[in-house]
Amino acid sequence: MTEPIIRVENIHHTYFPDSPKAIHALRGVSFNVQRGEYLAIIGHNGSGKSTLAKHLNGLLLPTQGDVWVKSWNTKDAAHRLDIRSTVGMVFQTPDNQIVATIVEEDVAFGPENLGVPRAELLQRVDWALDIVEMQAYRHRAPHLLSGGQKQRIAIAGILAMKPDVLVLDESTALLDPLGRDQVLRVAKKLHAEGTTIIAITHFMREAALADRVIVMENGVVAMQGAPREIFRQADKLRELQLDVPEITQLAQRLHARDAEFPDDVLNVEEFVDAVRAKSEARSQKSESKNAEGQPSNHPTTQPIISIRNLEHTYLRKTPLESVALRSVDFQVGQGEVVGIIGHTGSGKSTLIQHLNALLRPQRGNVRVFDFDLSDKKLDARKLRQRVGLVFQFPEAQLFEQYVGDDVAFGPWQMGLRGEDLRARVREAMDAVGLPFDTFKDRALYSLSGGEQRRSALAGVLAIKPEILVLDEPTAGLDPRGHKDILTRLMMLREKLGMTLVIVSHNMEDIARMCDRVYVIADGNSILNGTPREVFAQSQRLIELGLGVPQVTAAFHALRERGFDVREDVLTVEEAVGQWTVNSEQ
Amino acid sequence: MKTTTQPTLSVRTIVITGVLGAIAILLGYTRLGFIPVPTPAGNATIMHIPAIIGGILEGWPVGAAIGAIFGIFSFVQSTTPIFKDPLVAILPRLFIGITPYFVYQGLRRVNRTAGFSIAAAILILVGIFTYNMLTFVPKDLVFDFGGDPASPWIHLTGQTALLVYQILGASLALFGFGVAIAFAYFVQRNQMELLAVGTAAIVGTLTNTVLVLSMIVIRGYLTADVALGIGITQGIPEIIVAVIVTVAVVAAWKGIESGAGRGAKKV
Amino acid sequence: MEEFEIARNITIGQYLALDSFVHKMDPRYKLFCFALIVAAVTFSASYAANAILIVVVFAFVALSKIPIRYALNGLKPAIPVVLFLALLQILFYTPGFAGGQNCTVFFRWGPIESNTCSVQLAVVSAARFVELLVLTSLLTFSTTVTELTLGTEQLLSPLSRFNFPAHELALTMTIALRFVPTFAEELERIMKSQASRGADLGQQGRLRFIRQTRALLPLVVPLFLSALRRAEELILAMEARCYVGGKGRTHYIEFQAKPSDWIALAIAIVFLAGILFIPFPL
Repeated sequence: MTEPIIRVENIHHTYFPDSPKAIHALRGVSFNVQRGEYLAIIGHNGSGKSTLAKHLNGLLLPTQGDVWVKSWNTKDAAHRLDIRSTVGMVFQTPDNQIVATIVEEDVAFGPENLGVPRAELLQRVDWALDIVEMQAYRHRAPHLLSGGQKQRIAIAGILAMKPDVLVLDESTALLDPLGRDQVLRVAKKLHAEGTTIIAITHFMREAALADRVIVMENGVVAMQGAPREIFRQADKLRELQLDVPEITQLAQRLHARDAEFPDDVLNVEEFVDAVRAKSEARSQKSESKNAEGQPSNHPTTQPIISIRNLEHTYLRKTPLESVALRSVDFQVGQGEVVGIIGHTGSGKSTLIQHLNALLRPQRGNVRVFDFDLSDKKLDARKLRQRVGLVFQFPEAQLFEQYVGDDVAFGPWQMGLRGEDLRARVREAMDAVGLPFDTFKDRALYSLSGGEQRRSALAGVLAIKPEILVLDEPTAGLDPRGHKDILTRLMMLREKLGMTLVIVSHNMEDIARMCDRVYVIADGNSILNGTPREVFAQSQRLIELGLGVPQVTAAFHALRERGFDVREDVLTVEEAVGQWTVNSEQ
Repeated sequence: MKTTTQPTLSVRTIVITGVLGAIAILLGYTRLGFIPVPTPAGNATIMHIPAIIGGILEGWPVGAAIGAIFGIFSFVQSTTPIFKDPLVAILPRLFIGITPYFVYQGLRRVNRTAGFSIAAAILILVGIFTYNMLTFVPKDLVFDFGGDPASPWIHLTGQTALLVYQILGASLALFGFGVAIAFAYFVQRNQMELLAVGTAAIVGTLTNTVLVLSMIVIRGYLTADVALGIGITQGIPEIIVAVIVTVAVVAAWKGIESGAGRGAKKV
Repeated sequence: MEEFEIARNITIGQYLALDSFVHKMDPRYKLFCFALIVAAVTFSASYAANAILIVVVFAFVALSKIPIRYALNGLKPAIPVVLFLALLQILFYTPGFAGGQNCTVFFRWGPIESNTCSVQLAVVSAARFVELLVLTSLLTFSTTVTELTLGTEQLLSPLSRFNFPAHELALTMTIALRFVPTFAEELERIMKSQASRGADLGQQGRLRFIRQTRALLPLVVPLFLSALRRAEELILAMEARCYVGGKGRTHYIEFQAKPSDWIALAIAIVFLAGILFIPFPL
């Protein structure tokens, strides 16, 4: 057996060791990393996985224990550069890793620091850009790139140092599915060529790609093994505030009924194979057994949002002009939950900014309640008291010192004071699960990421809008945070009758929550209908660079192979229901 | 986080300077950099605040470097001849991040006794000053704002001069009194950190105003009295603005208490 | 609402890609020459010197093939201020300029005194302004951001023998310029976010400036905090990429000086000496 390339020996790490606020982030972690393996380290936020990651290249040193990279100890200052050029690390926020104003110069930064001679510098930059497939962009300015592209540049910058190990510290957390795919494709390519990959993540679908998974909880290794073994223990994972991919959940539910069905299915292909193994293949494709009736395009009741032929161009009449919306029709009825899906750059953000008058229609018609947004005399502030807009990563808008004050900002601007104000803030904070009395005096910056997200949401809820528009409400959250936000949003609809408009990349969420879905592509609203209707058109959606819920994809794949199943299955529960129906036939 | 060989400036210094420098540049490009005030210049600037904040949070080299970036961009972007002079735009700005650092470090650790002593000392100074002012009756008090001594407008004697003298003196005394009270107030509430940040912001803005105006006078663009006039009318709103913004940012970043003590103010 | 579209309007480095001598100059030499000429402008107080300088500056514009209207870009909006300032200077003479000798007074009224020196001050100020405006425009139009930062760094690198952190400072500038557009986008998002919460971004009236400042806090504070947070991550990223200062670094981009660059520099030095030491009669 060859020597492991990294050895972690019983490390502890305490932040602020001498203060009463000491945090024991790592409490005795030991494991080895073999050359060439693909290791995933998963855990909820706060489990210690990020702290652990930074020990692997000496960015943090253990307060106890040792970390060895090849034959070097990370505590040995003399070899720090050797260690960091052996173990390269890519971080979470793409923007915060790029230092130069031109892409190729940034890629050169790492090897420049290592004193690589110029001729080889040029070669390495070329090679690195090739692997991440960003050659075409080498002379661009980084801020013009998408998240996935920026992250690939960051990876190229690390690759140019020719590391043996690539650590991806939550590198896909802030990306859209397309960006995530791009990054994972690069990781797989590198792994195939012998680079050791260590992926820190909470996306279970990514963990499924690894050779080995380590599960962190409370500063220690809670589980370790091949993904299959780990995913089999779904209940234990749930205790650890994680979950398994939907397709695995489905497999496990079926396994509960039929012990011969495998319970360690990792992806759609395996599911389909398992099903084929169980039944005889049917040779003909049966007719589509989808829901009857016409796709209902628009709400039958009087819509409270009505958009027709909306157009929008940024920086009109300048050389930097760009068309965001070409012709969009969009309607929302009272009390509905409407989803908007579309690839990055399709115009979703532009669309929702019209809903509260941040943007005015350049051409076309936008009506919200009785407000006509083409009217120049429109009182935007009145509109914004009825339509609340929550941007992506709303934590960025927090500015007060204390939670109570920040949540109170909205109603304060509306003129509320004293008891009225307090009551409003209390209501909003309770609705998001930050009890007023305990949280109002907490310093905002001492809250966790998920708590800050909820505080920002409370800030908008405190305005008591009738319509709540959310742009990627679950972006960047770990499974627990994700579930929490969705549950609360559904409660808003049920308890308060709030109308919700949700932009999301997460197809499972859309399938679960929305009454209707609009698909935006290249500035046009090209599809709409119930989730069932929309996701039935899997092929079309895939062509558009979107996806469908994993379960839907599985059933679609089954149909392709001749099984007589409905294609419009959206959730695990429905799938199980379908299965029962089918197996009785 | 130690590295094998230390760069002359640490990575931290470089990055924070760059990042706050970017804000300074951005503020200059957008109307955020200018707050309308009722003064001749029309706008109070907040472009110098990143340098102050950098100096407070990370030390004087960072403050100096951000000041330099601010100065360079002020030079490049300026549309007035006064600021198209590197000695006016760049040189004084090197210091706006340096002085706050020292003020902040000096004041933050001052304990109660020392704090009260400082307040008391200021009060005593004010008292001495007021006493002297009241008892000193100048015989031939003449105010001369330059120009022709024969003109009655800027050459003041007698009662008018005395009046002007007394008004100036009274204002200075009141100002000093106010400073002493404010000092004691913060010391009393054990909010030295807050006091240190606020005072640092005041000193930083003053550094900017005083040094820039001095260079303007030295270079001969304006006379001393005009410069003084601008300094006072422009400087006071700018100081107030700088204190509000600097304290808000530093308090949020460091999580230190501000305002009326722990906890939310509005609810 | 165009008030929100700041991000898209920001262009740092208004580089115009043209094929001229000035564009092709080795940036280090170009920067050095620029500094020398700026020094010449800063320290020239006579009519004659400034006349020469104006001619020289516009000669450069021609040499760089940059269209005149670009070079004079910032001039139009500045004209009112320049004229107002000149008026102030003519009317309120300052002895600090030109040593106060040989000034013939030709107008006096109350505190107002105009003499030949104050006129000279006004004219020279205006001239200097134009010269520097055009020079800086010229520099930014003919040099890319990389050339500017790298050129400065390499110019100053001999000083690193005395522990002067040339590369570190250049890197600061690079980072600053790299993040300006990113922060502009972030600012736009923050503005929209706060507007969605009912923030009022425009207060009118006098002495409302305190309220206006407080109204700016929801924009300015998150901006600063976001910058500081990004800094923390960027520090880690740079350390992970083994940045240890300028010593021992190699360079991806290299500049090649040509004989024409040496000649240009030599001319600039002679020019500066001439301007400073020739006693111009006016």
